[in-house]
Amino acid sequence: MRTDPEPSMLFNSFDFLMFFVVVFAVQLALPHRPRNLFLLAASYFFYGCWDWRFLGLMLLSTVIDFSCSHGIAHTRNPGHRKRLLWISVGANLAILGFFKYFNFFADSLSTLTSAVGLNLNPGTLNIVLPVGISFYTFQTMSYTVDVYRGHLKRLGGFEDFALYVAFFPQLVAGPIERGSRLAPQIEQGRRTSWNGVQDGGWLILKGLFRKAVIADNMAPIVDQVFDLKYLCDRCPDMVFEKNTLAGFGPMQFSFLADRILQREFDIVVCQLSDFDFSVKTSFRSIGCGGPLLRPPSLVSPRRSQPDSAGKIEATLPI
Amino acid sequence: MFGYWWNKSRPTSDNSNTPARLADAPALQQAIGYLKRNVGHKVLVEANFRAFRQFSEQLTQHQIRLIVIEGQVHPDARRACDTDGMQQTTRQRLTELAVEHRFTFVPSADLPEFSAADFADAYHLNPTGRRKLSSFLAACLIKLTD
Repeated sequence: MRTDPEPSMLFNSFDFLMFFVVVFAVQLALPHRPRNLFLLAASYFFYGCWDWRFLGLMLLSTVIDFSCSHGIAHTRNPGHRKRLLWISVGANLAILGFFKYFNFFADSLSTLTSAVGLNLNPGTLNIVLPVGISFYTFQTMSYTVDVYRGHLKRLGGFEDFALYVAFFPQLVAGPIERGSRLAPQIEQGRRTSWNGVQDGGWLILKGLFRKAVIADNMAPIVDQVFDLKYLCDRCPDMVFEKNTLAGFGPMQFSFLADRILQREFDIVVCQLSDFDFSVKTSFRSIGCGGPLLRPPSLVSPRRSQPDSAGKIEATLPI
Repeated sequence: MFGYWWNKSRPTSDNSNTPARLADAPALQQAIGYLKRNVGHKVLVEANFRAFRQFSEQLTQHQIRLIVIEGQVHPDARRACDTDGMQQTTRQRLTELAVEHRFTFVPSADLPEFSAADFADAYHLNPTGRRKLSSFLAACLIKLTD
């Protein structure tokens, strides 16, 4: 199984803390336009810390969708608009498909041909999956679709759109935002309030606690229950991700429910510990899904938008 | 604070061809001791059951399918703690709750059989056991998503 290289600037690292403090402080002092340019540069720097070579790929996706959405907004010809939409969707899916599924299809073709007695080996490439490719691909696509549908006014400046795509707090972790939520904030500017800082700080602390204290301590325990590689091999249509949850007594169920609802899983597999629910235990879990990241604008407004493969969370207590 | 987790959480290599590590006596005894201290506490049982009931109710309300699988325990631990009665009661309660909240309950009888050779300690599986459980789970997932 291919694994992605670890991003070198993790959200719970000291490097990121320094980066965040500096970026936050500097952007506060800047007026609207320079602030956007500065945040764009910071976002590209953040992504480049993982692998600068893939900045070109993100830029390509940005240019394609900016051009297509620009064209869609400037023509009334329905045929032309539709063509531009398909160019955007096709190009994005081609990039995503290549990086995500090339080896899978090559392996499947090889298996299929050997099953009928042919020894055709198309070969596999050791393709690294760029971090966040699904997030920014679907985010740019959802933007173009929203502009096409007339739900969103296109962003005027290229740098605004580039920031919308690369905005570092959500670039590698999501969620995939609808254009109508994030784009106007980028275009019209933002006012930093003390309440906003407090709310944001609380969210960061909560997330950091769950990640650094709970998840990181539980992660090795998950490995003692599941053979993740085996599950990946046996269920190639699903994308697995390891999630860990912990707590004691009722709190663990609350954490778990919270997590499941946030991630919009369709199925939860849960193994109960021991015999009678009495052990003060912690949950260990992995999550898996089909098309893990779906553009919000392409799905129904129901809480959960089940697709054919669905998302699955498997949870096992100690 | 996390000593218990760390002690139990030494990762083992999945790719190794060496035989799976079996539960060594001290680890097994320590885990059995832990179980003995904790199982059968009525207050906890009821609190956890109430929480689980809410949890399953919440998932049902959000149209999320829940599958509950009974846990596996090392045969020695099962004997040492004499858990059959407790397991039976829990199984019964979960079966009833499964009907009420429309989730799927998989009792241990339907799981693959785990022998002492599948455990790293009283309830943690070694790579062989993990593979067995994962195989069962994979089959369930494939069936569900077909």
